[in-house]
Amino acid sequence: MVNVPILHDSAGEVSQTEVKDWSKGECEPIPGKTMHDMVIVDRDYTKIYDKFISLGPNVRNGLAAHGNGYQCADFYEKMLDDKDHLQVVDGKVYPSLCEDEEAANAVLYLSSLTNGELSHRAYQNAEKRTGLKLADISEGAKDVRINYKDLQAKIHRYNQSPVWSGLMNDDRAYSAFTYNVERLVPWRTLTGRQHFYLDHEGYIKFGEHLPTYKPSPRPEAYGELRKSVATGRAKVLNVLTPHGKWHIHSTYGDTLRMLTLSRGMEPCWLSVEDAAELGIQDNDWVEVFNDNGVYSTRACVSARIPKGVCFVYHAVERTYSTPKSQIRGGKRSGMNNSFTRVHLKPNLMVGGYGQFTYHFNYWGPVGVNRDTHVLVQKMEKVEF
Amino acid sequence: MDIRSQISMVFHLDKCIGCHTCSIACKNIWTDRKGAEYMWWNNVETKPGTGYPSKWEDQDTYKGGWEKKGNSISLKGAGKFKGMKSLFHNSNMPVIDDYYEPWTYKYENLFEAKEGDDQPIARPVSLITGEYITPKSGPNWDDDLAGSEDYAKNDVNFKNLSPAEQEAMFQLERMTLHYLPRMCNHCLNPACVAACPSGAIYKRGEDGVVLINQKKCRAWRMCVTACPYKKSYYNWNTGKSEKCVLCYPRLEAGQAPACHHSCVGRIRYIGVMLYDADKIEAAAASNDEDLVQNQLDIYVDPNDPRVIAAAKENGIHDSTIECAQKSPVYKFVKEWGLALPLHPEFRTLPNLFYVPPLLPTMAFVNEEGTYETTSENFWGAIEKSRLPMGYMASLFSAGNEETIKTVLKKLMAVRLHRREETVGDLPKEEAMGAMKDAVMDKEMADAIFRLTSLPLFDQRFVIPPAHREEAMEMLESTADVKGNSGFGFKEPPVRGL
Ligand code: SF4
Ligand code: SF4
Repeated sequence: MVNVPILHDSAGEVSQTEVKDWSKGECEPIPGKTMHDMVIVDRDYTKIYDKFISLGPNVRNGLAAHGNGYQCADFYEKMLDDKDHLQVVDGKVYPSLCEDEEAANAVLYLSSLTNGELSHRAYQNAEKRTGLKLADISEGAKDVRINYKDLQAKIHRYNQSPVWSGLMNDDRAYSAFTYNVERLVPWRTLTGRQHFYLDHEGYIKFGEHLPTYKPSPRPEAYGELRKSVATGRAKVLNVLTPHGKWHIHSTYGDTLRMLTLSRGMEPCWLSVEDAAELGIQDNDWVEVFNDNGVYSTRACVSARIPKGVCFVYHAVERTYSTPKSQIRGGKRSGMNNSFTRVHLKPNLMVGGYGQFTYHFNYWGPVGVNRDTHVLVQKMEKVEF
Repeated sequence: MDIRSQISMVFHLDKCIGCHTCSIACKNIWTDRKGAEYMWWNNVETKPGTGYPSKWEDQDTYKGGWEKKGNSISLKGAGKFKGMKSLFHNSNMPVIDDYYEPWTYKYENLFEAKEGDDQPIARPVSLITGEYITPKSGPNWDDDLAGSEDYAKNDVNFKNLSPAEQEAMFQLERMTLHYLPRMCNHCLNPACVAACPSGAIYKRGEDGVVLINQKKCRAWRMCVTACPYKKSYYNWNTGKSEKCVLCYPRLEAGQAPACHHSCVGRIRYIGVMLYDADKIEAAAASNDEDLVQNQLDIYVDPNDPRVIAAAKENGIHDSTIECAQKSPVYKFVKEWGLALPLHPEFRTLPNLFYVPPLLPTMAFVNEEGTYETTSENFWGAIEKSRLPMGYMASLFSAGNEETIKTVLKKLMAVRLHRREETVGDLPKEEAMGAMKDAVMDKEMADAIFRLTSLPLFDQRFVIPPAHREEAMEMLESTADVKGNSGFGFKEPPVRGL
């Protein structure tokens, strides 16, 4: 049994107009309505590998994303005609996903972005849902099919698709929501429009129904410096862990090239004033810590940083340059996420209400762990 | 008139995002070798900053480039003759710490460390000595004003700024930075060529690319001192000096140099400039304030019939002349007057031109401490740019502030005009007035806008065919060497060491 959140593009997305907790007896527990859904999935664990290397027949029922579906059974059948790329499992024949190129081609063949016919069908379905004329968008690209070899040979512009909100007709660059603005397709929200005002009980109670200024909570409110004590000259600073200049989380940033083009590790950026107060020079070793954990690194002192704030770009790998922490008894120091933790805001868990309904990577609790308070002090002894 | 052809470049600094993709492309192709680890033929600096090698612009220390002597010029530091005294000890040379000690990490420790209480890590080790080090400098150490007290504040270009101007550049609410990608300028008057006692450095006739003959180089390193841009490097492993080759194998195949090709901000333009070699000496010996104008006067109009005739007489191919006529560099540098040489006072007549960054002050903190976003003009006055005019003039016009202002006025006029066209929220007269002030009409403003914002690959890179087939025929009869490669050897194999 799999527990599933109430999802966008399902009936559940308009089920929760009020905040009622079934676990406290405030309402009757009804899966998919007043509580999360529960789904029974049959899984033959002896067949996992076979499932990985073959494309199952459920694809015949069509594919969908963001509430835009299309039929693709005929294309699935055509894949079965390609005798060189099949898998036979228990006497049944499936399109093969065994080789990397087979898997890539299966995706390209069944995606509306690279199969013009499927894009066209998706727009036809969108016409039915909206009562608008939309299929003209894909008319000219019906015969486009882009496969892996095509992409190896040359850059291709992919098809337009209602899965995405940008229009790319006449060679224009993709720009989000042009589909909604120019073709009058409703936004995927409760009202079909962009919202500035959120009329949900939960948001109103938290005073977040309009985007208004709220001061940052005081360091004590974060509660992350209850136990930590400075062993040297230390100072409480607000720490931020923003995206790095040239890494996407830990990807790319820790290559030798990029480390050479920066400071050889992810430093802690300090303001000139705070560094002077703490007796820290540029490139000195420092410990950045609170009750959650410690990151030992070198300081980067810059006029670019305002007083009272410091930052460490995320996400640091602990595999290189990280010394042992002096304030943690000589244990290997952590990384930027050692001193942060998740602070969940209850209104981020409001769900089942139009656009507030869960969708992976679109709606759900956000990365709220990027901002907290730490003590920063110079590291007198550096050990590896 | 002695017309020659030069492959030249423009970097549009408003577009550079400081991503260093150019540097990586170059590093991966050319300098990923023992002895070359510390070399970045292409590097990108944050300005204000001290750059790489640190404070390279300070010729009181490094003695690079030329100095004016009456109506002529002489090398500032080591040279063929000057260098005699210092042949065996050239004290004006940057040492490895002025660049940085290249490092890698002891990655094998992640696999081979003895079992212990703690997670193993890879410590940095020097690529020269193999010893553990803590990096103290790098090829981009002061990126984004990192260590601003030690680096940005010691920027050589502050020398003519008042303390108040300098202070203002580091006030949080008004500070700024811009990126400065640098590479060999393939100069018209290259100090590296002049300084080499072995005659190993030469400027190619057909396109002006400056190259070091690795067979002739005798490791005197006079070029390292002489190049004021510090773009000739000594390889401690091979014992030869090396520098940017402008990816000539790519150029000859009609492709842009890798740094240009890969540029994410699409800031780079490359094209042919025809120039009159007779004017070089006088231009290099100009007074500081005339240096830029006199250098620009060397480049001639590729559509002028007299120029075309003189070019043909010098054996310049028709296709090269055609490319000169379509050159994006000619447009930026000559037609529009938007691009300037970096540190013209070094007098090497560099062939890389920069469109200076337009960094208007759009808001400021007033006396009451509130953030004020209204200004008289739409984007504030040029003189109130975040970077003082004196700073820009030190970089791009040998101190001549008028030159900088003229360029920035043009850049601003283009923006005002486009804003008026596309958004329409400022009076037409303001845009018209700005264009009139900058001596440009609507057509020119639109052309600048198109080549700045929308150019395709082939508009940014206009590279003439190399005609190597003809160059080859000048040297040897192709019939003689037919069959010599493939199933034969062009050069006999050398056995042993
Ligand atoms: S930039 Fe330096 S190395 Fe390049 S041509 Fe000019 S003087 Fe020579
Ligand atoms: S690749 Fe282009 S945009 Fe990026 S740093 Fe180099 S010059 Fe600037």
